[in-house]
Amino acid sequence: MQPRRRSEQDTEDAVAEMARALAGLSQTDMLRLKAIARLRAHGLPSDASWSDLLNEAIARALDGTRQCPEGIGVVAFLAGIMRRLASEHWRRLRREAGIFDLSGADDGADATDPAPDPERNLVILQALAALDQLFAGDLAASQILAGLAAGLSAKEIRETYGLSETDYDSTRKRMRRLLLRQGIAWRHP
Amino acid sequence: MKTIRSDLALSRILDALEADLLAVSADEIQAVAAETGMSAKALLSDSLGFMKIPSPLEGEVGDAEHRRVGGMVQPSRRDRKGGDSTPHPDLRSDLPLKGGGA
Repeated sequence: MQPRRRSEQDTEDAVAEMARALAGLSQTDMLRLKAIARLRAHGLPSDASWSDLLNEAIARALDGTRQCPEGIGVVAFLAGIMRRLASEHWRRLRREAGIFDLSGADDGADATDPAPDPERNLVILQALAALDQLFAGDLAASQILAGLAAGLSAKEIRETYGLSETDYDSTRKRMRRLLLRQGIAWRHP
Repeated sequence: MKTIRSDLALSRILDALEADLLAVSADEIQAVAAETGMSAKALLSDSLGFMKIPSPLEGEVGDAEHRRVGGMVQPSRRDRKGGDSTPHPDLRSDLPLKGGGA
């Protein structure tokens, strides 16, 4: 069966609904969005700020460029747009540099993506160093980061580093708190 | 030892940490916000351009760069196109003085 093509009216309704959903966001959810934007800005060149990322995601949601799938909350939807925007940013730079991307993927890094160019690699290494620095002094957190980087599941991380379930959960909680603290602190971009 | 591509490593870490932030409870966010000693409104004043929230520094000396009207950041004087700006009173000092001066 052919999927139903969205009419103009449907699009307008969806945009109006998104505007209402954005207007109805609680301050807590906006703080959550700010923390996510700050996190996603890791790995972007220094001329692209987290607030640019967040505002661009909101603009795309409001102009109907991206439409929220049914059953997805507005915060998760905006987080997804920011993820794609960060990815698109590098793809555009690659295109501008004449490096063609044949992967076709539109979100996140993938093993099939072309290897990052030296400029991007530098930014990525700086981002990884910043995250490492954020959790410096917390051995379990550093181990969890290493496990996440390797694509391990929670169980595999616990087994690899000999962490109990309680150790793992309490470390993730500490990490989350630290990320939130860093993410919502007031600072002009 | 297996080498992990840096972009893949960063992407995996960010995805996992983002999932944590999406799942964190409202109570936990409010607790962390309370620790900062600032209101949620103040914490958000640097975030969302469409919100009508004044900057915590609004009205402070030297705040021209950050001043917002209706929640939007105003363009700086040098960004304005000609025709929409009124000469600043200070510019009068650049005009030739009546009577010639020195």
